[in-house]
Amino acid sequence: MFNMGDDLMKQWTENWEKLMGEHLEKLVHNEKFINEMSKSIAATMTGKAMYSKLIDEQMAAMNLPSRTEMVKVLQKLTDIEERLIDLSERFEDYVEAQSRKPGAPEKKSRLKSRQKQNLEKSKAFVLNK
Amino acid sequence: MIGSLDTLVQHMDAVTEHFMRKTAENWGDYPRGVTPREEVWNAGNVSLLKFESPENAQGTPLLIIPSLINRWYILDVTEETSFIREFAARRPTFLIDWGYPGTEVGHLPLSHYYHKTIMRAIRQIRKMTGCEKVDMLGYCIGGTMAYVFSCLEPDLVDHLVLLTAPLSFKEAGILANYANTFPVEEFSASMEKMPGWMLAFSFQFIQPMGAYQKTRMFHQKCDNEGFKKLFNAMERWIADPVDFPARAYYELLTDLYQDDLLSQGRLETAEGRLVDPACRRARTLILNAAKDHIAPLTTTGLPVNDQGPVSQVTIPSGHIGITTGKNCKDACKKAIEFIMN
Repeated sequence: MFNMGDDLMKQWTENWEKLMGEHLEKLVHNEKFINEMSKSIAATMTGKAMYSKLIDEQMAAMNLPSRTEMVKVLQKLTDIEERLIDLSERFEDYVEAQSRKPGAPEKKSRLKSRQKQNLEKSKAFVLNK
Repeated sequence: MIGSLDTLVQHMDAVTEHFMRKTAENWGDYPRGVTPREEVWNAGNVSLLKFESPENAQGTPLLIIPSLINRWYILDVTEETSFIREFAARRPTFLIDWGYPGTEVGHLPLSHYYHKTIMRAIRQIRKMTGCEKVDMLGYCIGGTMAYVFSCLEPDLVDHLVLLTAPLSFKEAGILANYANTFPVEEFSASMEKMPGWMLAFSFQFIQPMGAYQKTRMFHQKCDNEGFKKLFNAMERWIADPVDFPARAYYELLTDLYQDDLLSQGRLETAEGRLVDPACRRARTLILNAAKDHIAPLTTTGLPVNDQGPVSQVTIPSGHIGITTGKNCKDACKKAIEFIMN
């Protein structure tokens, strides 16, 4: 009796899942539904743009920086950072190319390690004395 | 209104996170990405990660390009399913972590990511390893980006693995239907980014019974510790959405999904360089999933004028299942065999 109830419940759940699955699958693939959804997203976004513009105008009236202006400043900073990365890469390439030329001065890192070696040698010399 | 919704969703996320932490027990502190790693370079939001490899792991370094629309650790979500762990055991392995892009990068074009950033990462890898070329693996949109890069810089890429990467968007299934009707101009005028929660919602939306089936599966298998571990790790990954920079998103929808410029060989970078598929020389493996609803099999084929070397393996799983499901080991093995030969 109990098992029969379980089986019925299981069968009912499976049927419900299958029916719901088919119905919702059809719905999300339906072109008309997709178009309507797109229209509602468009309307929300247009509303958001208008609302943001209104807020920006109010901030400007109070002589305060608006969100749009702050974002612009952040984006300018990103541009400057990008430019700096580009320039430092070009500079590294230039230094690399120069150091490969015959008779080029030693690389700074190599020079430093040689200076360190010399310093250690002289320290050892002083200690031996 | 969308801004307020964003805040509301963030609060709801925090509540969910709190609830999950209480129910996840020990798995609550499980790391996001299990393979030990260090950040070797960064620029803005983007960083280059190097994974710990044994000393005998030599050869051409592998650069992994994850998707821009979610976090990279889907490829390293647990020890049992990790692709990265397997790669790092054999090769010096690097990955571009796109981070969490905010409004400050909303004006950067898509080519900033698929050309400039990948180029910079390869520059660092070449400096560190002394290798002239790299092998690349791209997942999802990351695969599209890796492919575009291999067309732009054919001398820098040796092997290329495209893991469920859409390349031709003409018959891209349900996502293309939504992309084609998406109000891109209204989006461009009103948003500085595509919020991550909205993207996550859209992926749930196209599989309406997904959440129900997932809950039912959890109910059936929650006594299994292995399942619980993977389920928890996956839920944490799903609950970690990433915003998509606005201009890049606009270009993704218009240039790729709506106009299908890549497969026609008409895609251009922001600097005006043409992405010509005929230029690709990297040996390429297309690793696609038979039940993929995000990048269906019809989208993963190469453009017609691409005559470079290519092989293809289809794994019987879905878009996410190929990285964490029961067939993920097969997919990983195929990728490793291809890269090592």
